[in-house]
Amino acid sequence: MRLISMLLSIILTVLALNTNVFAITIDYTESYTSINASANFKSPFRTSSGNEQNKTVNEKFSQMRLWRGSQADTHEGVDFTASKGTNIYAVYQGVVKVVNTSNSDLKFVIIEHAIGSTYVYSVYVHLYTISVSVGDIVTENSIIGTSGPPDNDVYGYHLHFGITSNYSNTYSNLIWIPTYDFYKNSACFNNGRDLDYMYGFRYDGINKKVYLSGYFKGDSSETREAFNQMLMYYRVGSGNWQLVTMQRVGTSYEYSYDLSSLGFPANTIVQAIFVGTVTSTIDNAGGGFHWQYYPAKYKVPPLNPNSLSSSTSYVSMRILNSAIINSLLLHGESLDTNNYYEIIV
Amino acid sequence: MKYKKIMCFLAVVLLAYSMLLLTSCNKHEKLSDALSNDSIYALIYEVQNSYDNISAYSDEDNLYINGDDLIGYVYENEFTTAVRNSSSISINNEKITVDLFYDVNDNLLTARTDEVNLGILSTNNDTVILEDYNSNQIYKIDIYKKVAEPLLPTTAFGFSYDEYSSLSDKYNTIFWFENPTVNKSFTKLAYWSNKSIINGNPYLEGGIWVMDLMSGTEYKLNLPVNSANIMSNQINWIDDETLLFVTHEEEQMSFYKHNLVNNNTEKITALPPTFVHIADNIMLYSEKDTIVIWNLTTLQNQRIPTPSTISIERIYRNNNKIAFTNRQDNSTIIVDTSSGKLDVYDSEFDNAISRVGGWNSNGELILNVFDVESANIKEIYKINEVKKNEID
Repeated sequence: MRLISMLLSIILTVLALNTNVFAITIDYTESYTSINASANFKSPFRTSSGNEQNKTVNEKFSQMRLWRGSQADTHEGVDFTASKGTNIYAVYQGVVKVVNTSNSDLKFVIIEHAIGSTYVYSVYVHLYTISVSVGDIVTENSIIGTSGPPDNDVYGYHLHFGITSNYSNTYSNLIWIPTYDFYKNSACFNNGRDLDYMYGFRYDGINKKVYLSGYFKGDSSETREAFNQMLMYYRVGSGNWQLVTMQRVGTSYEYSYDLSSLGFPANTIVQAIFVGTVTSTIDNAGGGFHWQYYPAKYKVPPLNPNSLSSSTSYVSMRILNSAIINSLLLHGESLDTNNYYEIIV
Repeated sequence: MKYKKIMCFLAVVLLAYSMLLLTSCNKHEKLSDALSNDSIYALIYEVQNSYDNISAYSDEDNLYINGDDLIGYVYENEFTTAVRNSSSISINNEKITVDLFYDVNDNLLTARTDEVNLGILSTNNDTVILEDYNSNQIYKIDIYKKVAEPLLPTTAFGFSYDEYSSLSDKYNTIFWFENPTVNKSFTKLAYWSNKSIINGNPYLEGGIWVMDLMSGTEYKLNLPVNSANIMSNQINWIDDETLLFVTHEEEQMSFYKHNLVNNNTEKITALPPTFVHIADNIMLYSEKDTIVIWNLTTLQNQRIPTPSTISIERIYRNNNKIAFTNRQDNSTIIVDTSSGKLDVYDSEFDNAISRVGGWNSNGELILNVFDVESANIKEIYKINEVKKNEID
């Protein structure tokens, strides 16, 4: 009898360890992590025999840039180089929700993907021809059209691609979300790291450190430019944002900070904004605004978030048991759209 | 005594568990029954649920199952397991694996590789042509000697890839080759590239290149069209010496065929930007409630009304018949070009996606049925056209 009860307690212990019994629900409104967990998207490009194909990333998601030489904004999707007429494939099985051909330079297709009980949408812009219709059921082997746009002089031949949390026939209504998590298990695009300006937010419970990675990638270039600094602004409640500088992990593109050093008591909810900056001399890196936030904002924000005139998204962290952080979740809207002033892709 | 009871109980649990494992390891079961007596779909192969995360597909006579050593092919009207031989080949000091599949008579059926940025263009006896976008090179692989011979010269007009690459910007990037294709007799390779020359200097402008696979010499086609407007995705062999290509001018696409022997270029038609399906000398596209079919050999075309607006996944031709899936409702459509008749086979598959996989060597249309959730293939059917006519 004693043996059975011992066995039972071992089984229960193993079960308890394997199911996240210590998880605590957090008051957040948006969580990318729950969306991304189980979906591995494919490249929209394929070789002749259907193998996934890499294409050079011109502009990453949430990477700042100088649009038309003056306005510093953030790229809402990913730009891939693609010759005109390149076949474009669906990145995951789904249902076509939008086919918009109203502007020949901005023809786009949106496909709905069911990820568990959540829906996300892949968006393909600047198509030249389109082979799908609204309501089509597509798989990863379905060609949805060919890349464009019709002319090379305004946008250049390329595919603008991204993931959104909604769909709309009005392009400016789309809410873009990070791309990296859908490709982190992929062999393409440097395991997805070439897709987002900042990516891979995580917490190491053993070292009690938060980590975030990122780098800048210039136009038609394979060069990856490291940040000259990664800053973390944090606060509790609605107070001022406090600044600390994160440490680069060796020569990698990852940066870390030991949260326990801040000395917060258990159950404190800490909000954080991360700012990745590159040197101002890098071509097309936003000119005088050579940084961007994580979570990203559309218009390149002030370096110091205390100067922000509008609300902002942030990462919300609950401190447990002397800096054991249990959950890391994005809080607030996915992108601040208060400063929209032009439809730009 | 207590321990004996416990041991007995554990033994029973272990036995039951082993039985469960054995049952789930029952890999593939061939079935011959149909969905129902009146069904036009005859189930010919079922991929059991015993595999986790497998994906499979069939085309024409072959059934491929990823992540496992099994591959089947149609032999005497039955799916038969092929002999697989994985070959490790060194390319640019990188080892790549090419899987070679042979039939019972030791003939090479096909070759595959799972690697990103690689593609098998063609196989012929002991040779595989492989495209490699990692090294911007196309290789001719001798599968017995395991030697990969690069086919593309490292320069064009005397300029290297790096020299062309230095011209690249966001609006124009060097593509050393795109969409290569080998003709049926395995004698010529054609591809699109924007490596060009102007006033003795490297320049990025699109065009079609042709290589003689016997001599290894290549040249850029001099065509009577604006070379910069040749689209990269539609370069197809109509016969061993004739290519189909497409140009674009803002809101118009023009289709041409070009004969390499007499250097003659002939315009086929012009369309507004339309996605056009091309296979086996047939060009097909849909307009509202109509499909338009061009025979690329005769340059004759016919228009066939459809019962509703359709969305074509991919076309497969077998003599005078063309089959495709209508993505709108998962139905299968077979067009008879000689009679102009169009047959619609409504999908009978619940909670599944069906896709035409190709015609097998018996002239039967193969249909792949995918699970909606996983998008993995779960069953393969053939269509019984006789039955369809009986039901009609």
